[in-house]
Amino acid sequence: MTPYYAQDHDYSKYNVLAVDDIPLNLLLVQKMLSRFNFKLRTAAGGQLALDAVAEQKPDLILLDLMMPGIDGFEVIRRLRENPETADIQIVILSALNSKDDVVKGFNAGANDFIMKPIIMEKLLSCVVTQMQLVEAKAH
Amino acid sequence: MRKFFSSLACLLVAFLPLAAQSNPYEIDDDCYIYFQQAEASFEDFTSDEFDQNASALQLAALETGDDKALTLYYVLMLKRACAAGRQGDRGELQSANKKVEAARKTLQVVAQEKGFIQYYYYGYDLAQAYYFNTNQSSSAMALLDEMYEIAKSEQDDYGQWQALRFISRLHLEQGDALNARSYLRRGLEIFEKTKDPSLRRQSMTRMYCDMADTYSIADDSARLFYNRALQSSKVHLDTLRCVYYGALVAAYDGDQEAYRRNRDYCLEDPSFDTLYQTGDELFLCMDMILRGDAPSRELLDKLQQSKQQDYVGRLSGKKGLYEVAYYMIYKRFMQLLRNLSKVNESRLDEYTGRYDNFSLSRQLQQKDRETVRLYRLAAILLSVILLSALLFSFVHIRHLRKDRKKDEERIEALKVADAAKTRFVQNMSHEVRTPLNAIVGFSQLLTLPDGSFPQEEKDEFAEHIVNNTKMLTMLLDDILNTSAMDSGNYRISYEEGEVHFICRAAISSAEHRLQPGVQMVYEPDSEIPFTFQTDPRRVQQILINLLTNACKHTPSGTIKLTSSVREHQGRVTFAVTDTGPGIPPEQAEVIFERFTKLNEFVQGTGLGLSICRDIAGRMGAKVYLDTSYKGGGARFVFEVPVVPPTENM
Repeated sequence: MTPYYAQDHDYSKYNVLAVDDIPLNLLLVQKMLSRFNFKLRTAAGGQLALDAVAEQKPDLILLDLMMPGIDGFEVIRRLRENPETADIQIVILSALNSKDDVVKGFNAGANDFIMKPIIMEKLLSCVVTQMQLVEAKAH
Repeated sequence: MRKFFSSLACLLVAFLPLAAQSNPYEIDDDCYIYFQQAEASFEDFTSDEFDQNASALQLAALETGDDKALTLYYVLMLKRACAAGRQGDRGELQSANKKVEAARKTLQVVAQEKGFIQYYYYGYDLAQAYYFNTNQSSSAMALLDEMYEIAKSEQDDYGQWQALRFISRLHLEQGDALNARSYLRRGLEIFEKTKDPSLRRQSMTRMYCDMADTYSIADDSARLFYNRALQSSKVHLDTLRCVYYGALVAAYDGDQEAYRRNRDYCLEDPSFDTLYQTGDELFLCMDMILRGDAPSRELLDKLQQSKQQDYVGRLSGKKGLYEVAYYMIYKRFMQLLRNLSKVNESRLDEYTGRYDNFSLSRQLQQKDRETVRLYRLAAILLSVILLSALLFSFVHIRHLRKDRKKDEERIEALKVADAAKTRFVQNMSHEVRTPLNAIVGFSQLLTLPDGSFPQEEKDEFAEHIVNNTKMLTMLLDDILNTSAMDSGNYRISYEEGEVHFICRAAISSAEHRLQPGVQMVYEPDSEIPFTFQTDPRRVQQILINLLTNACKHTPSGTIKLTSSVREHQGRVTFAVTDTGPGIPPEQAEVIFERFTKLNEFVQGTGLGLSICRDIAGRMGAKVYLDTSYKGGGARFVFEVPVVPPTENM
């Protein structure tokens, strides 16, 4: 049985930004999402992520929390503060796994939370859901 | 016989002046003058004059060292106390008694000390007289009993005699002739047997007179003792007594001439009135009775002494004046009865008073004692409680302080340890999840159906998996090493090791951790192989740790490993130098603590350096940050002894 996300679907018009300070993690996310033909960009830190957003507003951000400098929570806070970027769907991908961190992430304004190590099925279904939400909003 | 008595009496009268002595006490003449003056002023014993005379006597006695005069001074003091007590109110009797007792005891102490034992007994005499005159005959009797017992136990004839004399007189005054006689007899026996000169000197006249008084005037025994009294009479008053007695006997016997002579002698003597009260009236009565006239009731009523009443009764009976005789006998009987009841009453009073006093004082004493006991108990209890409370609180406070300090220290230490542990667990979670993320993630990509990724990409994924698994293994090794070192299970095993070989092996193990574009080089100061006794695996482990550490912190430049056998004597010196951000000198020691990471976002458990130091310590080696290194970046130095420390062999 083929998972529903495996069905070909054209997401090429959607812009996705993956943020993580560890390059290997970015590579992994890239490879996992490769079946969807997103416009996928990566940022290796908080500031780089904000720069990328300013350059081009993404539809979805996959965001790591523990990063040197501006961390994930701060990135969320700044994006939500700005009306221009307040509506971006944000999914946290973090090794932080305590209940407090999850709650904190949602309180900051995240739309979903995925724990590392990333289970691919979970990531993909989550991303599909987020895309559907984006599509629904667009209509 | 009767004539003999009468003439003897006359003879004695002629010698009367001789009986008076100039200084009968044989004390210092000056003292005697003061004594006489004091005696003369004693009539008003509350006066200043008496006080002055008495004080003068005391001073003179002390100055001249005349102990007898001093004793006499105390006699005067006792006399004064007695006289004052006699004059005082009956309500103040108890306090008067106390004063008399105090004065008596003072006198007796002085008398005993100075050796005038007769004054010791004289103290009793005066005191008992005081008691008798204040209607405390029982006290008087008790005092005399005490005196007699003391004298008896001391085998003091004089004292015994005196006591017996006073006791008998006491009985006599109460009209108890029989008891008086038995005491007098004992007194006389003692006198007759004694060799005590002070007793021998005493006049027995009074005693014989008293003895005669215990008999009725008609009795031969009375005459016998009167005779003896006359014989032993030495002093003026004794003679007067005898003459008076002689008059009574002569009248009774009908010897008018002797009677008149003796009567006249008595009446002319100025001391007679004081010696025999109502003596004048007695002679008046006798004169009338001898004439055959009945004296008036008025006159008869004036005779108060029971002895006189008895005598008048008997004399009038003999002369046929039966009415007078009956009246006198009746009167005497009634008076005796009155006296008896009075004596009993006073005794009752006295006993009641004494009992009240006694029981009251006993109650008071008991109460006092109880109170004192209670107070003492309370005081002891209180002090014990206070003391223990004090001790307890002191100890407790100290304990608390210590405890609190200890607790605070402990809590602080625990807090620090807990914070470190929490950080470690959080960190661990992150550290473990990062390689795990790669392993799990790339594994999932590999399991995707063929054609998802080209083969070369799949190989790359596999390589990521292997590398991250190695990282995870190292991580686990670190934790296990730490735990093993903590539990003491970490062993060092020595064997031969070669410096260059160890260094190259370490580099090949750490190389894959290099960040892109960073070089890792080995620069020995000599290419000559150097072999030494050590644990090569541990040395290699430390070097790998140091190199890995450098890799993490060096984004660009070169990581250099050096070795030298010359830099430090007897040691192989390894050094790892990087071109990273460097470490501030003040952090040089902190970085070797467990769970310490200067940069939270650099991967690692924070255990690496602490493990290095632990292992080095066990090998007798040293790992430290070279704080003097100025090349930019950090330089870690690792010195290993060429000869292993003996304790670890």
